[in-house]
Amino acid sequence: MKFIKQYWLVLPLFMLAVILVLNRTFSQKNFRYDAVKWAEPSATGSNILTEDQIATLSGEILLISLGNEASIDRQFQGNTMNINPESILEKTNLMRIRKNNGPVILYSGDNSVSARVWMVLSEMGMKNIYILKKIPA
Amino acid sequence: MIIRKEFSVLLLLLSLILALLPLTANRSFTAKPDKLLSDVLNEDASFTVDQVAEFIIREDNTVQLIDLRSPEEFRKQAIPGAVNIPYPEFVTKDPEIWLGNKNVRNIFYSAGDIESDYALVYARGLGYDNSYVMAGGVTEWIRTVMETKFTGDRITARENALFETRRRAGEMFTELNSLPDSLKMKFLESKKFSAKKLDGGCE
Repeated sequence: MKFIKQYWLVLPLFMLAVILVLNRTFSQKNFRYDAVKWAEPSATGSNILTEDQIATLSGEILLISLGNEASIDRQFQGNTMNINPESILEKTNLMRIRKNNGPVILYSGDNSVSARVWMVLSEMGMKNIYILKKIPA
Repeated sequence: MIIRKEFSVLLLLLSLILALLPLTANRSFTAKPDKLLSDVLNEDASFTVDQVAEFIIREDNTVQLIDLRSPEEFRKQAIPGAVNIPYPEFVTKDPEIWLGNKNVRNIFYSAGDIESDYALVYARGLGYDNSYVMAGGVTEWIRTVMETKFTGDRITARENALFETRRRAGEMFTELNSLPDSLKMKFLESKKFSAKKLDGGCE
Protein backbone atom coordinates (compact mmCIF):
# COMPACT_ATOMS: atom_id res chain seq x y z
CA MET A 1 0.00 0.00 0.00
CA LYS A 2 2.83 2.30 0.93
CA PHE A 3 4.52 1.42 -2.37
CA ILE A 4 1.43 2.39 -4.34
CA LYS A 5 1.11 5.64 -2.41
CA GLN A 6 4.75 6.45 -3.07
CA TYR A 7 4.50 5.85 -6.80
CA TRP A 8 0.91 6.85 -7.48
CA LEU A 9 1.97 9.06 -10.36
CA VAL A 10 4.46 6.78 -12.08
CA LEU A 11 2.77 3.41 -11.66
CA PRO A 12 -0.33 4.21 -13.74
CA LEU A 13 1.90 5.43 -16.56
CA PHE A 14 3.98 2.27 -16.39
CA MET A 15 0.92 0.03 -16.28
CA LEU A 16 -0.59 1.88 -19.21
CA ALA A 17 2.58 1.35 -21.23
CA VAL A 18 2.61 -2.37 -20.34
CA ILE A 19 -1.06 -2.79 -21.32
CA LEU A 20 -0.55 -0.97 -24.61
CA VAL A 21 2.52 -3.01 -25.45
CA LEU A 22 0.80 -6.30 -24.60
CA ASN A 23 -2.20 -5.30 -26.67
CA ARG A 24 0.03 -4.42 -29.58
CA THR A 25 2.03 -7.61 -29.29
CA PHE A 26 -0.88 -10.01 -29.15
CA SER A 27 -3.30 -8.11 -31.36
CA GLN A 28 -4.44 -9.98 -34.43
CA LYS A 29 -4.98 -6.72 -36.23
CA ASN A 30 -1.45 -6.27 -37.51
CA PHE A 31 1.14 -8.02 -39.62
CA ARG A 32 4.29 -8.52 -37.62
CA TYR A 33 6.07 -11.44 -39.23
CA ASP A 34 8.91 -11.53 -41.68
CA ALA A 35 7.29 -11.01 -45.06
CA VAL A 36 9.94 -12.94 -46.99
CA LYS A 37 9.73 -16.02 -44.78
CA TRP A 38 5.94 -16.25 -44.90
CA ALA A 39 5.83 -15.73 -48.65
CA GLU A 40 8.32 -18.52 -49.25
CA PRO A 41 5.78 -21.30 -50.01
CA SER A 42 4.37 -19.12 -52.78
CA ALA A 43 7.80 -18.94 -54.40
CA THR A 44 8.36 -22.69 -54.27
CA GLY A 45 4.76 -23.57 -55.11
CA SER A 46 4.46 -25.81 -52.06
CA ASN A 47 1.21 -24.05 -51.09
CA ILE A 48 -0.62 -25.21 -54.21
CA LEU A 49 -2.60 -28.42 -54.14
CA THR A 50 -4.50 -30.38 -56.70
CA GLU A 51 -7.54 -32.40 -55.70
CA ASP A 52 -5.52 -35.64 -55.83
CA GLN A 53 -3.03 -34.26 -53.33
CA ILE A 54 -5.70 -33.60 -50.71
CA ALA A 55 -5.83 -37.31 -49.92
CA THR A 56 -2.14 -37.28 -49.04
CA LEU A 57 -2.57 -34.64 -46.35
CA SER A 58 -2.77 -35.66 -42.73
CA GLY A 59 -4.81 -34.06 -39.97
CA GLU A 60 -8.21 -32.48 -39.89
CA ILE A 61 -8.72 -30.87 -43.28
CA LEU A 62 -10.78 -27.71 -43.50
CA LEU A 63 -11.81 -26.68 -46.97
CA ILE A 64 -12.83 -23.05 -47.27
CA SER A 65 -14.89 -22.14 -50.24
CA LEU A 66 -14.42 -18.49 -50.99
CA GLY A 67 -17.85 -17.70 -52.26
CA ASN A 68 -18.80 -20.82 -54.19
CA GLU A 69 -20.49 -23.22 -51.81
CA ALA A 70 -22.29 -25.36 -54.39
CA SER A 71 -19.19 -26.67 -56.09
CA ILE A 72 -17.61 -27.61 -52.77
CA ASP A 73 -20.61 -29.52 -51.47
CA ARG A 74 -20.65 -31.59 -54.58
CA GLN A 75 -16.99 -32.47 -54.54
CA PHE A 76 -15.75 -32.71 -51.01
CA GLN A 77 -16.97 -34.71 -48.04
CA GLY A 78 -15.26 -33.18 -45.06
CA ASN A 79 -15.12 -30.00 -43.01
CA THR A 80 -16.16 -27.21 -45.27
CA MET A 81 -16.90 -23.57 -44.76
CA ASN A 82 -18.27 -21.06 -47.16
CA ILE A 83 -16.86 -17.63 -46.53
CA ASN A 84 -17.19 -14.44 -48.46
CA PRO A 85 -13.56 -13.52 -49.23
CA GLU A 86 -14.07 -9.98 -47.95
CA SER A 87 -15.13 -11.29 -44.55
CA ILE A 88 -12.49 -13.96 -44.01
CA LEU A 89 -10.70 -11.74 -41.50
CA GLU A 90 -13.71 -11.56 -39.21
CA LYS A 91 -12.92 -12.79 -35.73
CA THR A 92 -15.04 -15.96 -35.87
CA ASN A 93 -13.55 -17.00 -39.21
CA LEU A 94 -10.00 -16.40 -38.07
CA MET A 95 -10.65 -18.36 -34.85
CA ARG A 96 -12.01 -21.29 -36.85
CA ILE A 97 -8.97 -21.29 -39.14
CA ARG A 98 -6.47 -20.95 -36.32
CA LYS A 99 -8.11 -23.68 -34.25
CA ASN A 100 -8.26 -26.19 -37.06
CA ASN A 101 -5.96 -29.06 -36.27
CA GLY A 102 -4.68 -29.67 -39.77
CA PRO A 103 -4.39 -28.16 -43.21
CA VAL A 104 -6.70 -25.38 -44.30
CA ILE A 105 -7.41 -25.37 -48.01
CA LEU A 106 -8.71 -22.30 -49.82
CA TYR A 107 -10.81 -22.78 -52.89
CA SER A 108 -12.39 -20.33 -55.25
CA GLY A 109 -13.68 -20.52 -58.79
CA ASP A 110 -11.21 -17.72 -59.47
CA ASN A 111 -7.66 -18.67 -58.50
CA SER A 112 -6.87 -14.98 -58.10
CA VAL A 113 -9.12 -14.70 -55.06
CA SER A 114 -7.57 -17.75 -53.37
CA ALA A 115 -4.05 -16.49 -54.09
CA ARG A 116 -4.72 -13.04 -52.69
CA VAL A 117 -6.45 -14.37 -49.58
CA TRP A 118 -3.67 -16.93 -49.10
CA MET A 119 -1.00 -14.25 -49.07
CA VAL A 120 -2.89 -12.13 -46.53
CA LEU A 121 -3.50 -15.08 -44.18
CA SER A 122 0.03 -16.36 -44.54
CA GLU A 123 1.57 -13.00 -43.77
CA MET A 124 -0.57 -12.90 -40.63
CA GLY A 125 1.45 -15.90 -39.50
CA MET A 126 -0.98 -18.70 -40.32
CA LYS A 127 0.68 -21.98 -41.13
CA ASN A 128 -0.61 -24.93 -43.07
CA ILE A 129 -2.74 -22.91 -45.49
CA TYR A 130 -3.02 -24.18 -49.04
CA ILE A 131 -4.70 -23.24 -52.28
CA LEU A 132 -6.71 -25.83 -54.16
CA LYS A 133 -5.99 -24.91 -57.73
CA LYS A 134 -8.90 -26.68 -59.32
CA ILE A 135 -11.76 -29.02 -58.52
CA PRO A 136 -12.58 -31.02 -61.64
CA ALA A 137 -16.26 -31.16 -62.50
CA MET B 1 13.44 10.32 -1.30
CA ILE B 2 16.31 10.03 -3.77
CA ILE B 3 15.70 6.30 -4.20
CA ARG B 4 12.03 7.03 -4.89
CA LYS B 5 12.93 9.49 -7.61
CA GLU B 6 15.44 7.12 -9.16
CA PHE B 7 12.92 4.31 -9.18
CA SER B 8 10.33 6.58 -10.77
CA VAL B 9 12.75 7.57 -13.50
CA LEU B 10 13.63 3.92 -14.04
CA LEU B 11 9.97 2.97 -14.44
CA LEU B 12 9.38 5.80 -16.86
CA LEU B 13 12.43 4.80 -18.89
CA LEU B 14 11.26 1.22 -18.95
CA SER B 15 7.84 2.34 -20.18
CA LEU B 16 9.50 4.33 -22.93
CA ILE B 17 11.62 1.37 -23.99
CA LEU B 18 8.56 -0.89 -24.07
CA ALA B 19 6.66 1.62 -26.15
CA LEU B 20 9.48 1.98 -28.64
CA LEU B 21 10.30 -1.71 -29.01
CA PRO B 22 10.00 -2.72 -32.65
CA LEU B 23 6.88 -4.79 -33.11
CA THR B 24 7.62 -6.10 -36.54
CA ALA B 25 10.39 -8.02 -38.23
CA ASN B 26 12.86 -6.37 -40.60
CA ARG B 27 10.44 -6.48 -43.49
CA SER B 28 6.85 -6.94 -42.41
CA PHE B 29 3.68 -5.79 -44.07
CA THR B 30 2.87 -2.28 -42.99
CA ALA B 31 -0.74 -2.22 -44.16
CA LYS B 32 -3.63 -3.18 -41.89
CA PRO B 33 -4.92 -6.67 -42.78
CA ASP B 34 -8.55 -5.58 -43.25
CA LYS B 35 -7.66 -2.69 -45.48
CA LEU B 36 -5.14 -4.72 -47.45
CA LEU B 37 -7.64 -7.49 -48.10
CA SER B 38 -10.30 -5.06 -49.15
CA ASP B 39 -7.86 -3.22 -51.46
CA VAL B 40 -6.53 -6.31 -53.19
CA LEU B 41 -9.97 -7.81 -53.70
CA ASN B 42 -11.16 -4.60 -55.28
CA GLU B 43 -11.48 -4.62 -59.06
CA ASP B 44 -9.44 -1.42 -59.19
CA ALA B 45 -6.34 -3.46 -58.40
CA SER B 46 -6.49 -5.10 -61.84
CA PHE B 47 -6.05 -3.86 -65.35
CA THR B 48 -7.45 -5.75 -68.30
CA VAL B 49 -5.16 -6.82 -71.13
CA ASP B 50 -6.90 -4.25 -73.34
CA GLN B 51 -5.97 -1.47 -70.92
CA VAL B 52 -2.39 -2.73 -70.87
CA ALA B 53 -2.37 -2.91 -74.69
CA GLU B 54 -3.39 0.73 -74.75
CA PHE B 55 -0.60 1.69 -72.33
CA ILE B 56 1.86 -0.07 -74.61
CA ILE B 57 0.84 1.53 -77.85
CA ARG B 58 0.74 4.95 -76.16
CA GLU B 59 4.19 4.17 -74.77
CA ASP B 60 2.88 5.36 -71.44
CA ASN B 61 5.88 5.97 -69.23
CA THR B 62 3.79 6.21 -66.08
CA VAL B 63 3.41 2.45 -66.26
CA GLN B 64 6.01 -0.20 -65.47
CA LEU B 65 5.16 -3.70 -66.60
CA ILE B 66 6.75 -6.38 -64.45
CA ASP B 67 6.98 -9.89 -65.85
CA LEU B 68 7.24 -12.36 -62.96
CA ARG B 69 7.94 -15.43 -65.06
CA SER B 70 11.29 -17.15 -65.38
CA PRO B 71 14.01 -15.55 -67.56
CA GLU B 72 13.60 -18.40 -70.08
CA GLU B 73 9.89 -17.72 -70.47
CA PHE B 74 10.55 -13.98 -70.68
CA ARG B 75 13.15 -14.42 -73.41
CA LYS B 76 10.78 -16.60 -75.36
CA GLN B 77 7.80 -14.28 -75.21
CA ALA B 78 7.64 -10.88 -73.58
CA ILE B 79 5.17 -8.04 -73.65
CA PRO B 80 6.85 -4.91 -75.05
CA GLY B 81 8.25 -2.63 -72.38
CA ALA B 82 8.16 -5.23 -69.60
CA VAL B 83 11.01 -5.87 -67.20
CA ASN B 84 11.65 -9.37 -65.95
CA ILE B 85 11.76 -9.99 -62.21
CA PRO B 86 11.22 -13.71 -61.58
CA TYR B 87 8.76 -14.11 -58.71
CA PRO B 88 11.14 -15.99 -56.36
CA GLU B 89 13.60 -13.12 -56.76
CA PHE B 90 10.88 -10.54 -56.26
CA VAL B 91 9.91 -11.88 -52.83
CA THR B 92 13.42 -12.40 -51.56
CA LYS B 93 15.03 -9.08 -52.49
CA ASP B 94 14.16 -5.61 -51.31
CA PRO B 95 11.32 -4.52 -53.64
CA GLU B 96 12.32 -0.89 -53.21
CA ILE B 97 14.77 -1.30 -56.09
CA TRP B 98 11.91 -2.06 -58.47
CA LEU B 99 8.91 -0.39 -56.91
CA GLY B 100 10.53 2.65 -55.36
CA ASN B 101 9.33 5.11 -58.01
CA LYS B 102 5.94 6.23 -56.70
CA ASN B 103 5.21 8.12 -59.92
CA VAL B 104 4.68 4.96 -61.94
CA ARG B 105 2.04 2.28 -61.71
CA ASN B 106 3.63 -1.13 -61.39
CA ILE B 107 1.62 -3.73 -63.25
CA PHE B 108 2.53 -7.33 -62.51
CA TYR B 109 1.83 -10.20 -64.83
CA SER B 110 2.73 -13.86 -64.89
CA ALA B 111 1.83 -16.84 -67.04
CA GLY B 112 -1.64 -17.06 -65.53
CA ASP B 113 -2.79 -15.22 -62.48
CA ILE B 114 -1.48 -16.69 -59.27
CA GLU B 115 2.04 -15.29 -59.05
CA SER B 116 0.99 -11.81 -60.08
CA ASP B 117 -1.71 -11.95 -57.41
CA TYR B 118 0.82 -12.91 -54.76
CA ALA B 119 3.04 -10.06 -55.94
CA LEU B 120 0.14 -7.62 -55.77
CA VAL B 121 -0.61 -8.47 -52.14
CA TYR B 122 3.08 -8.57 -51.26
CA ALA B 123 3.79 -5.18 -52.80
CA ARG B 124 0.70 -3.48 -51.39
CA GLY B 125 1.32 -5.08 -48.01
CA LEU B 126 4.75 -3.48 -47.95
CA GLY B 127 3.24 -0.11 -48.74
CA TYR B 128 3.61 0.04 -52.53
CA ASP B 129 0.04 1.06 -53.25
CA ASN B 130 0.90 1.88 -56.85
CA SER B 131 0.89 -1.86 -57.63
CA TYR B 132 -1.60 -3.62 -59.89
CA VAL B 133 -2.01 -6.80 -61.89
CA MET B 134 -2.80 -7.52 -65.50
CA ALA B 135 -5.72 -9.91 -65.12
CA GLY B 136 -5.21 -13.26 -66.77
CA GLY B 137 -1.50 -12.81 -67.45
CA VAL B 138 0.19 -13.87 -70.66
CA THR B 139 -2.47 -16.53 -71.28
CA GLU B 140 -5.16 -13.86 -71.42
CA TRP B 141 -2.92 -11.56 -73.46
CA ILE B 142 -2.48 -14.23 -76.15
CA ARG B 143 -6.17 -15.13 -76.10
CA THR B 144 -7.48 -11.58 -76.25
CA VAL B 145 -4.86 -9.48 -78.00
CA MET B 146 -3.03 -11.91 -80.25
CA GLU B 147 -5.99 -13.96 -81.31
CA THR B 148 -8.38 -11.09 -81.77
CA LYS B 149 -10.53 -11.35 -84.88
CA PHE B 150 -13.18 -9.27 -86.47
CA THR B 151 -16.19 -11.27 -87.52
CA GLY B 152 -19.48 -10.01 -88.82
CA ASP B 153 -20.65 -7.42 -91.28
CA ARG B 154 -20.62 -4.27 -89.21
CA ILE B 155 -18.37 -2.88 -86.54
CA THR B 156 -19.11 0.01 -84.20
CA ALA B 157 -16.63 2.83 -83.70
CA ARG B 158 -15.88 1.56 -80.23
CA GLU B 159 -15.29 -1.99 -81.42
CA ASN B 160 -13.10 -0.66 -84.18
CA ALA B 161 -10.97 1.32 -81.72
CA LEU B 162 -10.59 -1.74 -79.52
CA PHE B 163 -9.72 -3.93 -82.47
CA GLU B 164 -7.16 -1.37 -83.66
CA THR B 165 -5.56 -1.19 -80.21
CA ARG B 166 -5.27 -4.95 -80.05
CA ARG B 167 -3.91 -5.16 -83.58
CA ARG B 168 -1.22 -2.55 -82.95
CA ALA B 169 -0.24 -4.04 -79.58
CA GLY B 170 -0.18 -7.47 -81.20
CA GLU B 171 2.12 -6.20 -83.93
CA MET B 172 4.50 -4.72 -81.35
CA PHE B 173 4.44 -8.01 -79.46
CA THR B 174 5.21 -10.00 -82.60
CA GLU B 175 7.87 -7.53 -83.69
CA LEU B 176 9.63 -7.74 -80.32
CA ASN B 177 9.44 -11.48 -79.97
CA SER B 178 10.68 -12.21 -83.45
CA LEU B 179 13.93 -10.40 -82.68
CA PRO B 180 17.00 -12.29 -81.49
CA ASP B 181 17.52 -12.05 -77.71
CA SER B 182 20.39 -9.61 -78.04
CA LEU B 183 18.30 -7.20 -80.06
CA LYS B 184 15.27 -7.43 -77.82
CA MET B 185 16.84 -5.32 -75.10
CA LYS B 186 17.95 -2.71 -77.62
CA PHE B 187 14.42 -2.62 -78.97
CA LEU B 188 13.02 -1.97 -75.50
CA GLU B 189 15.60 0.72 -74.81
CA SER B 190 14.79 2.50 -78.06
CA LYS B 191 11.10 2.49 -77.15
CA LYS B 192 11.86 3.95 -73.75
CA PHE B 193 14.02 6.61 -75.36
CA SER B 194 11.21 7.60 -77.72
CA ALA B 195 8.82 7.93 -74.81
CA LYS B 196 11.24 10.12 -72.89
CA LYS B 197 11.69 12.39 -75.89
CA LEU B 198 7.97 13.09 -75.84
CA ASP B 199 7.96 14.03 -72.17
CA GLY B 200 8.82 17.68 -72.75
CA GLY B 201 5.80 18.34 -74.97
CA CYS B 202 5.74 21.02 -77.69
CA GLU B 203 8.32 23.77 -77.76
